[in-house]
Amino acid sequence: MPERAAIETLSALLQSSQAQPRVRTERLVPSAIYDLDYRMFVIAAAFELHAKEAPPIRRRIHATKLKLLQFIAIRPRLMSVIRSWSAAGKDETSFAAHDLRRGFLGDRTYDAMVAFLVARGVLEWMGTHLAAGSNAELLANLYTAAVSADLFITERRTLEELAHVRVTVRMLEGE
Amino acid sequence: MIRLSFIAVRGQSASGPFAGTLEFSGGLQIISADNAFGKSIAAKTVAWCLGVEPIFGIFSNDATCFPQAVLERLKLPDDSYTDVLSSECEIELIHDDGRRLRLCRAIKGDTDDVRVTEQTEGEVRQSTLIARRGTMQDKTGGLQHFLFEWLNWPRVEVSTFKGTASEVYLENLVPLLYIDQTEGWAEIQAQQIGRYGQLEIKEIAVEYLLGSIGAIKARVTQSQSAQRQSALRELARNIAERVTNMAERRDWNVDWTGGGSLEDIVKRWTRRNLSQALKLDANVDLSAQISDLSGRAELLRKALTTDGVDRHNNSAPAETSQRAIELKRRRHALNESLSTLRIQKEEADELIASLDHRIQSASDLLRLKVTGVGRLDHVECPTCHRDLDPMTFALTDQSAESISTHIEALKRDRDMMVSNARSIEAGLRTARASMLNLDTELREAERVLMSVTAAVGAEREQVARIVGDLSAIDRETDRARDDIAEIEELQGEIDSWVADAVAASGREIGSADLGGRRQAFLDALRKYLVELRHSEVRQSTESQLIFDEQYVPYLDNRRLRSLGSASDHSRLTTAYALALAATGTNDGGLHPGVVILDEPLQQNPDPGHRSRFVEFLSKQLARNAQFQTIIFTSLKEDEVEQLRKEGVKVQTPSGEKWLQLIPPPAESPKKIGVPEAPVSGNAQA
Repeated sequence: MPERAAIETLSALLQSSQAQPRVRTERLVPSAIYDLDYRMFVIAAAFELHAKEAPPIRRRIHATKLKLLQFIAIRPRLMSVIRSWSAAGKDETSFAAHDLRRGFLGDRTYDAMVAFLVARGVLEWMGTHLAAGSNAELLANLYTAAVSADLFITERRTLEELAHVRVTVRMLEGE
Repeated sequence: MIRLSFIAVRGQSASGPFAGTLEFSGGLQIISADNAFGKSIAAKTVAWCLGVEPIFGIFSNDATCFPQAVLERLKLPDDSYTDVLSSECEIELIHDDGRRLRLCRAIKGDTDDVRVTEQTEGEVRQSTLIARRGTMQDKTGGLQHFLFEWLNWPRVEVSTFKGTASEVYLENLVPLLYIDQTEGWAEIQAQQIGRYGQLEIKEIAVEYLLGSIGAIKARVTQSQSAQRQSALRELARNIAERVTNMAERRDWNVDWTGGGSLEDIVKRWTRRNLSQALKLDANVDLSAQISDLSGRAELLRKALTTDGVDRHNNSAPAETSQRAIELKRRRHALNESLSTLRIQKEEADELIASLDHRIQSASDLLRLKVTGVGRLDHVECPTCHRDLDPMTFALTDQSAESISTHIEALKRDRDMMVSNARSIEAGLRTARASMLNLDTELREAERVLMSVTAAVGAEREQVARIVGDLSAIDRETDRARDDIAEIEELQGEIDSWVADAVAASGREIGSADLGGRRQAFLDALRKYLVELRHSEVRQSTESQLIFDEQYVPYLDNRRLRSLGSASDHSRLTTAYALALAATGTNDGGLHPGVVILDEPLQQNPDPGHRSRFVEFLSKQLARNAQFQTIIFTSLKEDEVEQLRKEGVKVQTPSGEKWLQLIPPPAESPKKIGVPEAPVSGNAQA
């Protein structure tokens, strides 16, 4: 969602250049990708499809991997970039391309969502990993309900394809 | 008018021959028997002998519309079964003028043909006609062709959805006079054939039976005109596209569109011709170009033949080389533009795909929010059980309105990008065309350069250049002539299209002979509905009953079918069939004068419904109708008694089943064969 300060700054800049900015409010609605329900579904789908059993503890997933998975699921056009990054291994140039790194690192909504889900008891921090919390069934229910209603097919398909793309912890955390 | 005089079914079973017969007189008559007696076999026999089985939704010559009793196993009085070896059925029609017609068709056996016995003034003629394949088209062997002639019915051409010609068939008319027990009561003309693709066939079938052939012809002309106009609009779009492609191939920008109404297109295309449009929009005047090229060629020829060349002029190699370099520079610039356009196109396509995804995701999210699928309405802390406000975490739960607005904004962006992508695509086509032209020019310039370079001495170099230039001018002239030919060909198509469009829009549709008949049909329907005691159509409201364009009855702006109780549906269907018969058998009408209603009570046990129907049957309107009404139903004894007292003809056939084994005659027990109908009157009148 465009921040108010940024819009005001832009307006000030345009005014200083003799331009007459006209704000079309109908275009200022926030994008759906910042919506709580949408992000919760994407995280639920990523967790349900990619979290692994790690006995004796519950299912878990590397936090950065979860962040990457949901980031790509929201933007399926980046699949090719991730594939080439995975194929290149340690070479990070492809990851840096397309402003992928900047967008990925700046994904604050994800961080807020994780904090929210941890507070809700849906997820739990375990070092670098996020594990299923005491209320983890909420994610499973949300995912099952959306699948049965045939919702978010592209996101789910992208997450399924990502299961075939090798992304190691070293690649995620860097050297 | 005709009437049905008998229906017979007979056959051979493993236990011997079997048969069943019903005889009819004119006017109203009721055949009352218990359920599963075989009434529907008798009713279906009429449709089968007329070869109109497609109304049952089955293939031609497929007898599966009949029950097992005439196809596989016949139930015997002792509740055992016997195999059916062969079976057939027969009906007889009697025309007002005395002619008789018997139609006999196998049910189990060769179902392709119908044996026809025609009796006119004591003369009997027998023939075998084809029941279905080519039934209308085959002038010598087609059953329907014969029946239309026998009934003195005119053949009427109608249009199909595909734009091809078809005609009114018997199976289009029968659903209005034969109401089948299983499917016929669901809706008016419930068994009308839709799969033939005939346009407005329900309305046409009604108008045919009313005898409004003029109205049908007007209707067909109108729909043909609409189809023609649609085809012309499609052709206009095609021509406009070809003009645009032709212009883009040559890097010309011309405004020649094929959208809008026929009148608009005719106005645009006659305001200026294609050559004028090219001259005004793209500054292209091919005639002037050819004349300019001829002038230049003349000068060059003169230089070669009479004027001679300046032997001290050494500029030829430098000029030709400079020209080639200039063309290469232009080619390089164009190549860069092409490359940029390709990248822009790829990015535009990618952006459109991304917008499609975002629209889909937002639409799914809206659905999730509206339907509440899997949403967390209430979020609380698992430790302190206090509500967790997403805003505390800088998260927003957007409203459905906000998501809807976002979807609209995305769709606007998508439309803009699609238009942008189209414009880039057009730019690409033009750039590719320019590249082709430039390549041709470059090849010619390089050829001239090679000739000039190979020449020795200033004089020869100039001659080589002039010859090369002449050759290039010739090729350029040829191209211009080709362009003119293509433009003239397109202009020819445009002129022909304009002539067709003017003719199509000016075509007048003949007046119809419908008004009076339509009103008479409506009046009759009102009368029958009131007499049948339809719960919504009473004497006080009948004037509000109207027909829409499709002859669907409406009451107070609501479809009558949707009003009233469930039992009103059968009253409406009955009234519609009888009213049409009453109107269509008057002067000029083409209704055959027979109505068959198979179980109008629909086995409804509601005493009110039954008493209304019995009451209707005993009224003058039903009893004194000029046409024949045959009703197959199951009445109680007191109902039969009441009707007979009123003078209504009610048949109550004896036995548990209509089809019964025929005991072998004592004198010839070994005779095997199918008995002639009617065999025996097992009916009690």
